[in-house]
Amino acid sequence: MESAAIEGPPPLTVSRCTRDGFSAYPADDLGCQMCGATPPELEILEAEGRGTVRAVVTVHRHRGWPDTPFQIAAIQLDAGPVVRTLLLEGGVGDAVTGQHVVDADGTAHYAFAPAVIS
Amino acid sequence: MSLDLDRNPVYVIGVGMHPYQNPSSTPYVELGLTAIRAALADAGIAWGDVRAAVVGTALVAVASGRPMLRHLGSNGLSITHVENASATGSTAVRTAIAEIVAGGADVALAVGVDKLTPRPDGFTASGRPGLGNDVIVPVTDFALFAEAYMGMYGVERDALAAVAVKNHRNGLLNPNAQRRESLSLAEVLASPPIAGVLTKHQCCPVGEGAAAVLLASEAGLQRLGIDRSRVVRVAASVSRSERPYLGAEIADKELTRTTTEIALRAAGITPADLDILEVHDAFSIEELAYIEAVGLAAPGEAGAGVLAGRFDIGGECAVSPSGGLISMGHPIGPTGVGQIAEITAQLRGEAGARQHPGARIGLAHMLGVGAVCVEHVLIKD
Repeated sequence: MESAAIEGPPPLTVSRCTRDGFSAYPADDLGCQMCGATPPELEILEAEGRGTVRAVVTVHRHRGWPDTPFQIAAIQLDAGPVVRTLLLEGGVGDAVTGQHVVDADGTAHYAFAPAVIS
Repeated sequence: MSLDLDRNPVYVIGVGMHPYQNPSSTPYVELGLTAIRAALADAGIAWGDVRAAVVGTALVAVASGRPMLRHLGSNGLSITHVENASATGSTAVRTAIAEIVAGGADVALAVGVDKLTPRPDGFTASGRPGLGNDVIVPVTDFALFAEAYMGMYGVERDALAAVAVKNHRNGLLNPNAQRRESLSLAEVLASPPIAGVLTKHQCCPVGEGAAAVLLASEAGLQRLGIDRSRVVRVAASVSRSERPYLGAEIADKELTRTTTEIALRAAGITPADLDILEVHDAFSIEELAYIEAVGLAAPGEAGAGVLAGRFDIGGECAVSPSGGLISMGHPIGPTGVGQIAEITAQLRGEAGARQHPGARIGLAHMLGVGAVCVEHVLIKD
């Protein structure tokens, strides 16, 4: 997996409901899945791709990109929602940031890796 | 959510199967007809006696009912097709029960039939994919849950593998099971890893097959002169869908817990009354989660129970006596109908080598991606 050098983690579009506080990724732009609220009661935000690894597994059998083995993690975003996607390095408890990785066809995929303290 | 079966009793009067198997060139029509004809013979009734048919398919084709059912003779009955992901078969059964409860039929068929055909799910088609949609499959999600569960409760991987050992032991005794293998704990653990701690033998096969159940009201029993000694009463039929469960271990476990509470209350029983439990054990970790959600073990203790034989045939409650999805297979449309066929055989005392002694009450549980949860309680009065 080649990782593309980008300045700062690419943002993630999340929603936050002003009625019940529920936040979601992918954004509930068509209505809050907790209470049904729609914009403007539902806010759409560009959140930083930062979070903490809650669980991680190694995938040994997979069709298509990427080649096995690779890691998939459940990541608690600082912005609220839990997402599951590729983890390039690291383990449970690590603070991670997002980055795009590009497959053989040139398609970008969102992945996480430990945050680099600069 | 819960059908009114107190005022409108419904009974299982016949069950039939086409074995679950690896994908083949056999058309779905032949799979389905085999199961339906077996159910008619089991009930001792003719196709012309049936007033409504509900056909459960998730993958094979749209409008799959008539091309199959016409070969039984065309009697003009109501045909309804249902799809509810992995809970398709359970929902076909529930829809047939509802047709009877509502007075639209006194005898109805629920048939589940499917062949392995790729089809996108709603989340993929929604235009709002999750972050890792293209690299994550169901086994990944359950492997992540297994990691969290094992860490939270100090459960070892042996406990997960023991589910696969038990269910294969049961499935070996089931002529309708897709994977009939005797496996030791060491063999399950040593089978190829798929994701996290889940190895090949801890993941269900998806193939093809068919299952059929015939249901009747009191009026139906009388009209057809059905032998009451072999009928099984449907004591609860419940269907629920997921809510955002804040803080839950995994949504499917919480959804199962809330659905089961309603089902047990409707049937007037407690978890301790269950002799048979058939669950959505697509992956070994799921059976542990749902044993706990149903109330047969405290959180984190289901694995110790499996290792101690509490959930064996002949134990406190036989869990997945059919072999479950892990050994019997998960052909999608048939799966939930096949659970009803298994529980009916158990409660009649007709389950042969895998008979759980004294079985009188059983619960069937299926989840469908989304998630939806459908449960039935069956009682032999």
